[in-house]
Amino acid sequence: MREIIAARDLHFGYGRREVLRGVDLAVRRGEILAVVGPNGAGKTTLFRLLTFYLRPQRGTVEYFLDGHRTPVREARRRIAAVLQEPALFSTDVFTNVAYGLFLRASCGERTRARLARVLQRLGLPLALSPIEERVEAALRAVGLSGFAGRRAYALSRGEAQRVALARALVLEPDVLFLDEPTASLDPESTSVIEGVIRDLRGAGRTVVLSTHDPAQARRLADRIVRLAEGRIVEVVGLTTNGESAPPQSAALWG
Amino acid sequence: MGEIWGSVQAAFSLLFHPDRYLLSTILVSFKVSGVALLLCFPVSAVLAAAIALGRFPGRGVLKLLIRTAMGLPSVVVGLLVLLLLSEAGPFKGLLWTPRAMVISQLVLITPLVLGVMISALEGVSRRVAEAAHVLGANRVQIAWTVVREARVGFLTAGVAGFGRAIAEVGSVLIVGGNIAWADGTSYTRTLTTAIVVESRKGNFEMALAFGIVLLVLVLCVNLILGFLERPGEAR
Repeated sequence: MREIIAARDLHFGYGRREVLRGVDLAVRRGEILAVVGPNGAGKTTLFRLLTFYLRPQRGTVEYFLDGHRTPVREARRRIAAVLQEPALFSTDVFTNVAYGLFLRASCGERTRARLARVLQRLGLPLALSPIEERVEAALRAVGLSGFAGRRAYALSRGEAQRVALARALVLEPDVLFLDEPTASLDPESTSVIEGVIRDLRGAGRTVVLSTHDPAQARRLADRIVRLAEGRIVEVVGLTTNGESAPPQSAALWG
Repeated sequence: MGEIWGSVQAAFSLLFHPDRYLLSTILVSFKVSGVALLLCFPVSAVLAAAIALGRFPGRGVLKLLIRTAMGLPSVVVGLLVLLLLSEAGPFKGLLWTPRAMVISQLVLITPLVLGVMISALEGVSRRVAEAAHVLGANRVQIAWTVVREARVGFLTAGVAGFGRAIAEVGSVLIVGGNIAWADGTSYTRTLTTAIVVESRKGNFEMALAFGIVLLVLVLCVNLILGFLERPGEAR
């Protein structure tokens, strides 16, 4: 099966305000899928349902990471997301990026990484621990090599968003969700983040990104899903087999 | 004016050459307030996390009660603890002991510590919990992450609780009995109750010395708070 995520008939509302009204979405392995739509269309809510942060009031979200249905707990360990706001933890950049690795690491690996950092701070030349190596590689990928020791609060908005991206990238997730990753960012950070998305496509990774910028969606995505008032109103790109969406209408994309 | 100046000078000379009375009173104050804080802090931390991060019916009412209890008059607490510990109450035998004072201070500072901790946790952005979730954290790991974000608020809660306990006079006077032995060693006499007693006896040098120690303590508490609340760090 090529489908890696199957969401069916998703409904969700906050109080009386219905945000999603029956969304069907299939994400295929190795594709870059862009979800576009105006503010309030339900993009963030859709992402929250797909990442299991919220439970749908109706409908289902299923993952097929290895061809068969993946249990939620395992799926959660194998996906990662970058939120619209960086939401960094108030500590240094290293601890932020290593967060997910620490959650998944054994006690020994954690201790080794912490000890190595303390010793390095004391000025002792020491080989990097495996966790540090992965953190450094992720920071390099977002153009922030050497930022590990910086405090999160001292970063610019663009740097913070790139650290948030590194925090997800470092986990090498099967599916990476990016919720408006470049909204109100400086041109440099935007181009770095778009470069990372292109690299992921080259590596055959699955990325689901939301954006309110149609041009960006066209630049990056293999397939574009347009969300309006809680429904998918259009799918543009490759074939739309299995999608309960109206046929392509490129005219809407001016 | 000259008399006051004389008292201040005498108080400082006492501070630089402290006798057994002064030292033991300071020690009792620290011991009672410190033990009360040690007992209160971990329990409050767990309760605050459950109240601030959990979703259960009656949560709003509970928070209102805690906020109300933050301003409990200490004499009322002293009176209630006195009744509980008296011969007619369920916990007799503890009255006029440092333990009784610890209990009354515990009742007094727990709502304050709890309230400050809850505010600190609620001040952490909900996006932080979401970020932890989407990186694979389970519920306990998310709660721990949010608590870590609120760490400065937790320290503030501890410092504020200790400050309230050590500066409090009403309840420790009622349940502790303000006892000092004939050789001058304090048993249940604290800095605050000693000030009451010494000023009543007209012993102003001693009362002032105790007052200065208390002021220096409050100053230290504020210095610690100011150091912890550096701009940009987590609340």
